[in-house]
Amino acid sequence: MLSPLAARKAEKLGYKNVKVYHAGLPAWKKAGNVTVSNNAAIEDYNKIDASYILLDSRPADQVAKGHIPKAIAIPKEGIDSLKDQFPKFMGASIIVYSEDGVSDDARKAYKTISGWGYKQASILDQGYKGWQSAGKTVATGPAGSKIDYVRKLLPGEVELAVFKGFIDKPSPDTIILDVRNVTEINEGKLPNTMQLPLDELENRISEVPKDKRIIVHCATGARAEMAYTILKNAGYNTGYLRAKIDFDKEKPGTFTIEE
Amino acid sequence: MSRRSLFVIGAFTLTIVSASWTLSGLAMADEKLPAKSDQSCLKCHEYDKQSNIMAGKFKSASVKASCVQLQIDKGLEVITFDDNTVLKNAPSIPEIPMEESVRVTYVKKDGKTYAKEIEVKKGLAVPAEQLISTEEVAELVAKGPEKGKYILLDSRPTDRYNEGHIPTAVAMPFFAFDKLAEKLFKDKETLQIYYCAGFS
Repeated sequence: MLSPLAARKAEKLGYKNVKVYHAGLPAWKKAGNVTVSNNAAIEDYNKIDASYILLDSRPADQVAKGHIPKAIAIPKEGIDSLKDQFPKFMGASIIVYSEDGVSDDARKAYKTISGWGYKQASILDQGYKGWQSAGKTVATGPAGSKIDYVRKLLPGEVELAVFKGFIDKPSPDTIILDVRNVTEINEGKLPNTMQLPLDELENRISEVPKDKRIIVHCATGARAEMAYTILKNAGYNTGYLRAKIDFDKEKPGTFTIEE
Repeated sequence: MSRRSLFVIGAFTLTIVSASWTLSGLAMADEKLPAKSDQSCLKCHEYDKQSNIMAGKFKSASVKASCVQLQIDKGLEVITFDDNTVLKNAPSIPEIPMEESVRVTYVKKDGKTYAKEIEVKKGLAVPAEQLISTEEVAELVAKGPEKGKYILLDSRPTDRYNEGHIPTAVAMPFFAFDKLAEKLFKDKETLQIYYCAGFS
């Protein structure tokens, strides 16, 4: 939405050759083109202690001489050998770098990762050289070999492990609220939960105890987040689960929860 | 709610909506409710002087629960809808892009915040001759700015640019346009290509 505005402005200022790539970044990525990131992205992630995956695509001896802190080396066997360490969260920030900018190695790793469905992958535009020549901190010796990505929770989001804890062992101060609709609830529900469909929540909010912490779930997290918003706006101490919950129709009482 | 009662309410809503046009303002049957607007919308709209409006960024929709969620400044609002909710500038409610600016005309119905109308902000039209395709951009990027004689400009906020942009692009966040224009542009003739996060 911003690019047409910028183009109008440029024309007003007298620039004569103005174009708009209106389809923009989503179309660029979809067509299989690479996107690049810069040193500032890594520094920003570090500053706010964000989780990201930094991958070094250079040979081990080069990596040992110097690499960007927190980097994971792509092993000789290739990026595929790391696949099962990648997070389930497709929006994870992933930066690949090589000695220079967009090298063949980096491009290959980027394409594989994008092919797995990761939406926020990029290649460091000036590579290791650019990082080093900008005077940034470097690490020596072998780089990390294990991806340790922990997705940061969104406002109100409750960790899956915490949620599972309440399901297994109910707490007197916490209520797990299921906001799916009646048809879904008839197909199965989690133990130790209270049911109240989202579309009735506003009208029946007085049925929800105000002196307890309310943790909401649904089937994916979308409605749970809305219920969280309603409860929060009404002054409740609340949180929600952002995870996919499936109930086995064949075996009543069995379910799977995954992020 | 049964199908029949929905239909009755639907017919009723329709009549008051049509009546409201001639009265130029609020339908008589509706209670006047305060407008809630994101600061960014107030730059161009005077929602603070109106009522029964919620204006903000579209966050999510649930068809199963007939709800949409809107971000207004730092707060969130959940608004219900039904088949009688008038939708403008989008094919269906689940297809409204996230973060899109929307304006909701709302009332209280059966105790719930209900959307009578959801209007998605219309994208700015770009004249066909000003558009450039992915293939054309890719060709230029392969040549580089000097050989290709272009400057590719990313209109998104700088942190987004840092995280991932088209190779050879320069950060030019829209809100810093004036400050950066002097620095970035050497002449009036060089091809300037602007892009951002697409149509949304």
